[in-house]
Amino acid sequence: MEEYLLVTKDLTKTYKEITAADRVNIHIKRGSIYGLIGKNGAGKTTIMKMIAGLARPTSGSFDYTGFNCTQNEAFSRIGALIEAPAIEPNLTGFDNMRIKCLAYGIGDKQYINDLLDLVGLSGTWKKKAGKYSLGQKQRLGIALALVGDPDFLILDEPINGLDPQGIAEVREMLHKLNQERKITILISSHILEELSKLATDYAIIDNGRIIEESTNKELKEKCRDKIAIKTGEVAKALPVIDGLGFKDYSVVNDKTIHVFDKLSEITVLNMELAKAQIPVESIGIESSDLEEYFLKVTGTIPGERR
Amino acid sequence: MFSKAFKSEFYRISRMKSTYILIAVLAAIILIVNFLYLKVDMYGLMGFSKEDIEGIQQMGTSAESYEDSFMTGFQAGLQSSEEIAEGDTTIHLLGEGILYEESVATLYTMDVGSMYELLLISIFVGLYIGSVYSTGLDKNLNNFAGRRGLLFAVRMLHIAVYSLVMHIFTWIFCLITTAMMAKSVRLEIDKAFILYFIVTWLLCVAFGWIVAGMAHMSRSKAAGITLGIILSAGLLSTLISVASLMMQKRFDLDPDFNLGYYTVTHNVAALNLYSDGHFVVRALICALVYGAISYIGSLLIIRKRDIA
Repeated sequence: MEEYLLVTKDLTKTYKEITAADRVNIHIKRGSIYGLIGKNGAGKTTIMKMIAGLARPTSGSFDYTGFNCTQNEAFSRIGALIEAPAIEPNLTGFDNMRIKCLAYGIGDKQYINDLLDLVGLSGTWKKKAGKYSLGQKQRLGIALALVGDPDFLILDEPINGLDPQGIAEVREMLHKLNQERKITILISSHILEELSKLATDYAIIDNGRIIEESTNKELKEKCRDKIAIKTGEVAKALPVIDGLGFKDYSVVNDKTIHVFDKLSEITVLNMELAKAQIPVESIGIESSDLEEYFLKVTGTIPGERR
Repeated sequence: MFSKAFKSEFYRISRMKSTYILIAVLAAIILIVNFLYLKVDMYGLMGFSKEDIEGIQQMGTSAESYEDSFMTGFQAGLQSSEEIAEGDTTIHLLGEGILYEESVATLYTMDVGSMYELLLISIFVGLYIGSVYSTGLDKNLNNFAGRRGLLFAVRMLHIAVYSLVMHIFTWIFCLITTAMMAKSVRLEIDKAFILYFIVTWLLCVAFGWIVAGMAHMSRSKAAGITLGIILSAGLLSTLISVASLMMQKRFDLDPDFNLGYYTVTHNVAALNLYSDGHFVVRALICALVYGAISYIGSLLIIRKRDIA
C-alpha cells in the first residue's frame, strides 16, 4: 500500500452561500508531485488554503497521516505560496526572507543567500521587493515557501508571470527539490502543458468538486491517440476487434471502446464491425492533450464525459 | 515559538522606516513645542513683566482660587495689562518662557498631555498592523497557522514596547531641550513622576491597542490611523459632551458627570504630577479596561476568521 502524506475527507468550504470546495477527497502520496487542475474559481486555491492552515474548513477534515504529528506541527513542515507572494514591498528580498527565517528559528544569513541563489535571485537581494519584476516576485515567493526546509510544498500557480526560460528553470528546480530533497509538492497551474511535464498525480476540480483523481500514467493513457468506437453492442464488438489482431484496447463504458494500436486500420475495423452486423453509432480517431482532456472532462467543450 | 515570533516581528519593525521617522518627528515636535514653552516670552507678549507675574504668583496661594488671587494681587496695587501696555514695557518675542524655570518632569507632563505622542503611536500601529493585511504576511508563517493567538500576543507586546520607547524618547527629548533652553536641569524623578510615567504609558498602550483593533477589524492601515487621528485630535469631544448631557438627563446623573473623563485621551491630557489619587486610579482603570477590551476583541476577530 502506498504511503499517503495527506488525505482529505469530504473537505468543504462555504462562503455565505457559495460553496468553494465541496466534499473534496484527495490523496497525496509521499514524494509525489500532485497537480491540481481546474478553471478559475474552481476551488483550487480554497483547497490549498485549507490544507495549509490559512482557512478553516466549514466541514470535513484533512489528515497529514504521513507526518505522524499534530496538525499544528504539520503546518510547521509546510511551505506555501498561495495566490500572490506575501512580500513587504518596502523591504529588500533579503529582509523579507529574514523575517520568515527568524520566525522559523533560522538565524544563519548564508541560508538565505543559498535559497535566493536556488531561485535565481542571488544578484537582487539588496533590491527592494516592491521594485522586483513579476517573475522575480514569484521567485521570491517560492524562496519564502522553501524557508524551514518543508517536507510538503504547496504552490498555487507558481509559474505565473515567468518568462519561458523562467518557467523551465522553476520546473527544473521543483523537479530537483522533489527528487533530491524528497519534498512532496502540491501544485496548481493554468499551463497544463507545463504541469504535465512535472506532475506524477492529478486531480481535476470543477465547481469545487473533484471530478477525477488519477496518476500521470493513467492520464496519459486517457490522452493518447485512439480509435473511439461508440456502439450499443460492446460485448459483440470485442471478438471482432480481437479477430483483427488489435491487442491494446479498453472498454470505457457500456457504449464506448477505445483502441490504441493500429490506428491506420480504422477503415478495416469499421467494415468488419458492419459485416458482423454490429450497429456503430460513431467511429473515429481521437487525439487529445491534457488541455483538451481537461476541457472535455469539465464539460467546457462537448466531449464524451458530460 | 514565542521567542521566534518575537525576533521575527522585532526584525520587521526594525526594518520599517516609519519606526525611526516617527521618533524623528516626535523629536522635531518636542523641540518646537518646548521652544515655545521655554524660550518664547508669552507673558511679555501679553504685556506682563516678569515682576508682575511673580507678584501675582506670590499673592495667590494654593488655598485661593485663581480668580481670588488675581483680585488680591490687583487690589495690592498691581497694574492691569492695559495699564502696562500703556507704559514703557518692551515686548520681546524671545526670553524666558512660561516653563523656563520648571523641571524636566513638568515639561514632560506638558508634552505627554499634548497628545502628539499618542498620534504618532497610532500612526505606527496603523502601519505595523495594517501591513500584515496589505502584504498578506501571515500567509508566510505557516508554523503559526494553528497558533494565531501567540503571534497576535507578540504583536500586541511590540506595540506596548514601541509605546514605551516613544514614552522614553519623549522624556529624553524633554531633557535635551531643557538642557538647551531652560534655566537649569532639574530631573525630579520622584514617586509621583514614576507613577505618572507608568500610568500614562499604560494609557498609550491601551490607545495603541484600540488602533490595532481597528486595523485588525478593517484589515486596513488607513482605518487604524484615521481612528488614531480622530481620537488624539479630540474630534469626538463634542459628541462625547452631547452624549454626557443626554445621559445626565436620562439617568438623572450628577451635573459634573462627563463621559470624557472615562476616555483614554482625556486621561492622558488631564493627568499630571499633582493629580489626586482617585484621578490616577481612574486613569489606570481606563487604561486596563480599554486595553483588555481591545485585546480580547481583536483576538476574537482574528481567531474567528481565515488568514487569507
